This record gives sequence, C-alpha cells and structure tokens, in this order.
Amino acid sequence: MKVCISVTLLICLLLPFPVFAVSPYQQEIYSARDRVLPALIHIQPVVIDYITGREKKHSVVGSGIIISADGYAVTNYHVAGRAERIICTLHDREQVPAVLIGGDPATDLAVIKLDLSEYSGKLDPAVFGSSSDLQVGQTVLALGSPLALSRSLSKGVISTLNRFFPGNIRLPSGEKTGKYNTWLQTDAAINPGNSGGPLVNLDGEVMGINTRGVFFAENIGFSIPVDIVKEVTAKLIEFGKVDRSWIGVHAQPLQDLESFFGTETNRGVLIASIDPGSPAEKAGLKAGQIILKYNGHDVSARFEEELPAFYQIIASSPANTEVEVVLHNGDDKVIKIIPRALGALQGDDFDFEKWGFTAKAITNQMAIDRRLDDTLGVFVTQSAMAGAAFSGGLHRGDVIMELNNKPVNSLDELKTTYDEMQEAEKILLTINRSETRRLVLMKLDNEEDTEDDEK
Amino acid sequence: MKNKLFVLIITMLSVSVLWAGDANFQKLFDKVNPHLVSVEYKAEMNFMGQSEDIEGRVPGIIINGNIVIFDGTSLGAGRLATDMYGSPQVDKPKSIKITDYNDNTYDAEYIGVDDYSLIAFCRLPDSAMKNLKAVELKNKSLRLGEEVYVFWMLPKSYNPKYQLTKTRITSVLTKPEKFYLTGELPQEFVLSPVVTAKGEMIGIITPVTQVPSYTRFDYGNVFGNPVGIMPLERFEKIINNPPEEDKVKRGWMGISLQALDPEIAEFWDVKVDGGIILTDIIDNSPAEKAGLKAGDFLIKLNGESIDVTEDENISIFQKKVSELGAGSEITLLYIRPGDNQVDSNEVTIVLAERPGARSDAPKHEDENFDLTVRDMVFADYNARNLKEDEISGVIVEKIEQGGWAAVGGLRTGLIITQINGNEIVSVEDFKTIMAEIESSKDKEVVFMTWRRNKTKFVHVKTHWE
Repeated sequence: MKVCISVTLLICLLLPFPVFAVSPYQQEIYSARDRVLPALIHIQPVVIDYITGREKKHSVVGSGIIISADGYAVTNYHVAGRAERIICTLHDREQVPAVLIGGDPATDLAVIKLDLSEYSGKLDPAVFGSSSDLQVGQTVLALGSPLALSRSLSKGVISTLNRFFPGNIRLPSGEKTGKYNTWLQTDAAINPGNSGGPLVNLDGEVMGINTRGVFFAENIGFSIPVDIVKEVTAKLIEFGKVDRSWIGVHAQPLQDLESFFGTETNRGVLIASIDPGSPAEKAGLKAGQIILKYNGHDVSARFEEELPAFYQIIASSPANTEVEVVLHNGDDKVIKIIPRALGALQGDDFDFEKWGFTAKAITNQMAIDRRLDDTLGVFVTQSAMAGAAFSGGLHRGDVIMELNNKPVNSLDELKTTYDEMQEAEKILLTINRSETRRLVLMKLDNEEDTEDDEK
Repeated sequence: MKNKLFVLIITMLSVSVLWAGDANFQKLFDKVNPHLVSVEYKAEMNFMGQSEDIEGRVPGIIINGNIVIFDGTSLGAGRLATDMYGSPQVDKPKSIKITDYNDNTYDAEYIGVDDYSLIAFCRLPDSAMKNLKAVELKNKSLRLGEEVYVFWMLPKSYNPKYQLTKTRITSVLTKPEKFYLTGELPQEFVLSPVVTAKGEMIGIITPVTQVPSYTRFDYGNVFGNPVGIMPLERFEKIINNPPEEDKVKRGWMGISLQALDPEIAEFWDVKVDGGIILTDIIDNSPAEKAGLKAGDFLIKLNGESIDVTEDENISIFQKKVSELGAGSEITLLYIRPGDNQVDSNEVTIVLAERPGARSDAPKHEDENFDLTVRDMVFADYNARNLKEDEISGVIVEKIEQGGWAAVGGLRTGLIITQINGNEIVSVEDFKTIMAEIESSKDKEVVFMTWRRNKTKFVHVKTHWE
C-alpha cells in the first residue's frame, strides 16, 4: 500500500512537468518537417560559365524541392539554370541524376527532372501552399544545404511580405532578375547553398523558394513567393521557358508626385522612361504620362513594391496583338499599343577557344540594355588573358561587327567562319566599342605550330 | 711631339673642367636662384560628388617677364579624362602665394594649366619684378653622359629654398618622343629647372609622356613613368602659348582614335610605319567638315609621317595637334580602306578650339537646395555616348548630404532636363527657375532627370524658413 501511494505521488509530482510530452508548437514543427523533408533534395550541378574568356565548368551546390511523384523538382536558376549535368541527393541519401527542364532568369527559378530509372524508392512530393495567406510574424522553416551541409533546417518568421529591390539584381550569368516579383523576407537562416530550397509554413506547405541571403547581415534572407513559383514552374514544365511580352516602359512610384501630375492617389502608374525603338515609343507614350488601365486591367503603383505587379500585367499581355492603354490626361485617353515578345534576356554563349575569347549572341533585351542600334554583331563576354584577342585589344563588351572586312551578323555566322578559318594566321576584327569603331588584329600562332611539327 | 701636345691639351682641358666645376657651383646657385620661387596654392577639389579644399606647394620658375610656371599636376588632374566620376576635378585656385629666394611673398594671379604638359601658369604683380627676373632659356641638344644641373625645392621651413644636384644625361630617348633621362629622379623633381654649367636653362623635369590619351577607355599611363628632361623646343612652345584666362586655345579636330599597327594596314596591302585610325568623328567638328570618316587611316601630318603604332603613344599625336593651336591649318594624308581599292588623299583642316573642360564650365550653387549644377560640356556628352542634340540640361556636380536635393533623391552625375515642367538647357535657366521657386516658396519641386539612358522624376520637398 505504501508503495502504491508513493508511486501515485510520484506520478502526481511528474504530471505538471511533462518531460516526455511535446508542446503543440514543437509538434507542429516536427510534423511540418516530416511532411517536407522527404521532398528535399541536395543538388550538385556542373555549371558552365564564360566570364574568364574561356568555357569553364565547375561544380556548385544548391537545394531543391520535389513537386511531383514523377520527379519534377524546383530550384533556382542560378543553381541549375545553366547546368550541363546535375546530380541530386534525395532524403534517403540515394543519388540520382537529373536533367534541366527549363529556367527563367527573370524570376531566378528552374525546373529539373530526376532520372528515377535506377531508383527503387518512392518520391513523396511537397505541396505548394499559397503565399497570399502569409502573415508577417508567421513561423516558417527553411530547409536545404547551407554551405553544402545537406538536410539542414532553420526556423524563423516572415519578416516582411513584398520586399522590393529597385534596380533589378543581376545574376552571375548576366541576366537581371526581380522585375516581375517581390520577395518574402525571413529571419530563418539562409546561407549560400540554401538556394533553391523551400520555405515552408507549419503545415509543411511550400511558401517560397529560398533565393538570396545578404552577406555580412544576420537573419535577412529572401524567398520567391510560392504564388509566382507555381505560375512559373507550370510554364517551365509545359514549355521549357516563360514567354513574356514587352512594351519598353519603365515606371516609377507615384508617391508624392500625384499633385504635380494632377492625378488622384492610388490611381495609375507613372511612366518614368521609354526605351528607344520600343512599342511604347512607337505608340507615342511619353515619360510623365500616367497609365490607368492596361489591357483591361486597372493598374496602380503608388509605392515601389507595386511595380512588379504592373510589369507582370504587361508581361502576360499577348505579344503582337493590339492592346488598349488608358491614360490619365484630363479626359481619359486611349492609346493602342502592340507588345512584342520580350525574348531571351541573354544570348547563347560560345568559346572561340583558338582566338581566345568568349562571346554571345545579341538579344533584343541586350541591345536595349547596352544601347546598341540593333542585334547585329556578336557580343564579347571576355577575352582570355594572354590570348590572341586579348593581345589585339579585344575587351569585354565589344561588339564584333566585321571579320576581315566582311560583316558578322550573328553568333552562328561567326561560328561558321571560325570553323572555316582554323588555319588563319591573322584575323582582323572590326568592333563597336561605345559607339566608336575600332580594329583588332588577332595574331594566331598557326605558323609556329607548323614549325614545331617539323622539328 | 704630337703625343706630348695631345697630353698637354687633355691635361689643360681636365684642369679647366675641374676648376669650372667647383667654382661654378656657387656661381650657378647665385645666378639661377633669383629665377626660382615656391608656389603655394589653395583650390577646391571635387571627387565622387564630394568636395574638399586642397593645398599645394610646388616649385615655380619665372619665365617671360612676370609669368611664373609651376607644377599643375593636381590642378590639371582629370581635365582630359572622359570618364564620369573616375577622376578628381580641381577648380581653379582660390589663391596663389609666391615666395622668392629672399623670403619675400607675393599674391599671384592664376592664368591656367596646360592640359597636356600639366604646366600651370600665373602672373606676378609688376612690383615683384624689382627683385626678380625671368630665366634665360638656351636651346641645346644634349648628349648622352653630358653633365647637367638640377635645382630641387626644399621643405618650406628651409632656407635657401632650393638645393642643387649635378647629374648627367643617362639616356637620349627618341621614342615615344624626344626626351632626356637623368637617372632615378623621384616625382618630387617635377618642374625642377635643368641648367647648364653656365646657368642657362635647357629644360625642365617632367614625367615622360605623362598625358592620358584622349581616347575613350584609355586613360593612359599617368603614374609610374620615369621623369626626365622635356626638350626645350617643346617647352618653349608651351610657355609661349599659355592658356588664356583658363580657356583652352588648343587645336582640336574632333576625332576619337586608335593607333595603326602596320600589320593592320597590310590587310589592305598598304605599307606604313604607323598612323592613326579614326574610330569616331564628332558631329560638326573640323574633321567631319573636312570629310574624314570613321575607319580612315591618318598617315601624315603636315608632310611628316605619323609613326604611332601603339595606343600608348597616341597622346604624342594629340599633343602635336593640340600645340599647333586653334586656327592653324594642318594637312593630313589619309587612306580610306575600301572594298577593293585603297584611296589615298590629302585634306586640309583648320583646327578649332578644343571644347572646354568640365572644370571650366559655368556652374551655380543653389544654397537652399544644397545643390551645385554646371553646364554640360563636350566631355560630358562624350562620356555618356550622347550626341549634343540628343539631350540638353545641366549636370549635378555637387550635392550636400542631408540637403533638400540629396534627401529628395538627386545624385551627382544626373542630368537635370526639367524643373517643374520647365526645360533646363543651361545654368542660366536653372538660376532663373530656382529664383522663381525661392520667391514663391514652392512646397515641392519636381526635377526630371536623365541617367544611363533612362529618365526619372525626382520629387524634392522644401522646408523654407
């Protein structure tokens, strides 16, 4: 009996201190973890860059999240968007290869597909939530491979929704990103290697794709909201790319300027600048005008974080089809405009190894960005140290217009010439450098090669 | 007998040289010292939108009556560079104080700085000339190994102001241009006078081809060049044609250029020792009016071959044209590479006056907005790849942190094209509008700006008292 009482006492004493029980909050974290961890992947792509004037391969590390049972996974464009080969490590530490399905540098997203032919396990894809339901202060978990430390989990809250970065951020591969989306900001630790991994809520639903941290800052990380991720991944899976339309308008927030332009608060988007030669210029749009409606959508940008939504509306209007633009102009004024396809932000790359430089095709957006008259010519990415092009004075950013006094219209043309001219000893390039025309003489050591052979 | 005579002559010569050497040091010192002064100036330097006062103390030489030349490296910095903010811009000095060998001081009047040699000029008051006089110049060809004397300025608290060094010609350069080297002289020797044993001035110490090229993307090799003696013939050309009232009267034809590697010319079966490739022609410039085109090769200037083969030496050609002066007529032989044939032609060009430097442009500071703007000059258009008819406005040169303009978002380097909807073409327009704004005490002002090919509206809130 005494024993019985002491046991009861002991149990009573222990009850208020449930050392073996788990708090509901902790339980939620565990269950969120268990829902998403099986879909988490560690990605090791071999990517190619051309920034040194040579085609160089190197291995990088990132994260990703499986989104379908047949093996589609989302990651960042800057992780796998230019991958030649991809190796993924799954949650059970098995490795499988993957192929790139498509990438979208404008939102820094890419879709890969796992090759499951040699994998005996079963995939357990993650579920997309909706980022529009998120609240500041809501608990979120970030999963991924920070500094290549795979299957790491960090916890934090949503610090802010709709973080906007003016000026567009340039990816390592040269494209500008962030024009069409804002970011979720979180204090969950995000380090290099977390890129492409998921940010999830306590239901284990994907709320964003972790994309950027800030060097020397603490607890400031940024995720691409899942609502954008859903839209972009669907297009990447279906078409391998995201097509957008373009009219050449740069907008700025109307805040403080409403009275100057005589418009009402929260009505319209102010045109700051018009790209030369753009559909907007042809349609007669001008800086200082205010767009009230675009293609039937009311548009407004009083604050800068409202700008991406406006650009998104333009991007999703049909290319080569007339669109109505309603302007604020005393009486509302209607202008017709024909958007054009935005096209690729950057052209294809090629290593002219023997000549000692790398170059890329010029796309319409590159031409606008660089103030080129048209897309004719070939854009020099870099000339390799001590190569023939470098010694001749070819610089990054030069546009090759002629080779031995014959026009070079495209990268493909130059590649053909390159194949034909393997034996040439001297090649003269005419280049356009900041609207001046220069000559570059490349002296190739073909002659010496033959001498060496004779020896 | 012959041998004895020879030995005797040699001995006499040696003794005379030795004797001359020792005795002349004091004489030389006494003779040249009255021509030498120290120049102290104060000026404002603008760099990356910030301004600060700078002071300089440099050697000066009295030449041509009451004119003093001095080292203008700091004052002329950035005048030729075409980049936007990369180089500091120095305003003309606020004051120049000159101290002579007797410690007398005078206030001098600034004249200007020569862009290519970076020799600065100022004028002494006539009253100073009672004690001082101009140095004698002697045009003399120097031989390798020949002894010369270099005066070297000492720190401020020292008296006398200069010391004297005997050195010799260690190399006679013919390329990149004629120049005498005198061994390892430090940069502090720049603008030190070089004299013969008799005290005649035969040159000054300057860096060898110090000049940054006036080609885009090539700012030349300003630092690290050895210093040496600029031959008197060039030196005289410069000092006989001082910049007047800080305005540049240098010759200009309006071209961007590249050196012509003879191997490039071989592509058209043309044999040359070098030359200049025209990479761009400025609209309405003398070169354009004369019919020159981008892509032409210039081969001869006034009948003399232009043997420039490397971009580093382009400045020598530019300097020649510049020093010929505005208004002078030059003849150029050029080659126009065509599809099948090569045309060779002669063209005569009357040089125009080189467009003003940024530091010469009219400017205005608006104290309410803490904003300084200046007129756009040729270099501004050139740096931004703009044609003069593409855009007009004023450039934001300086902005005080925390001022109305800075808080509103204006930045240095922006071009202001409109204020409250009014077109701004010049500093005068800016002054007028800003005066109207001040009198009506507008609560807000909207600036339309241009930067990197994009326009933007900038809203500035005012806080009138």
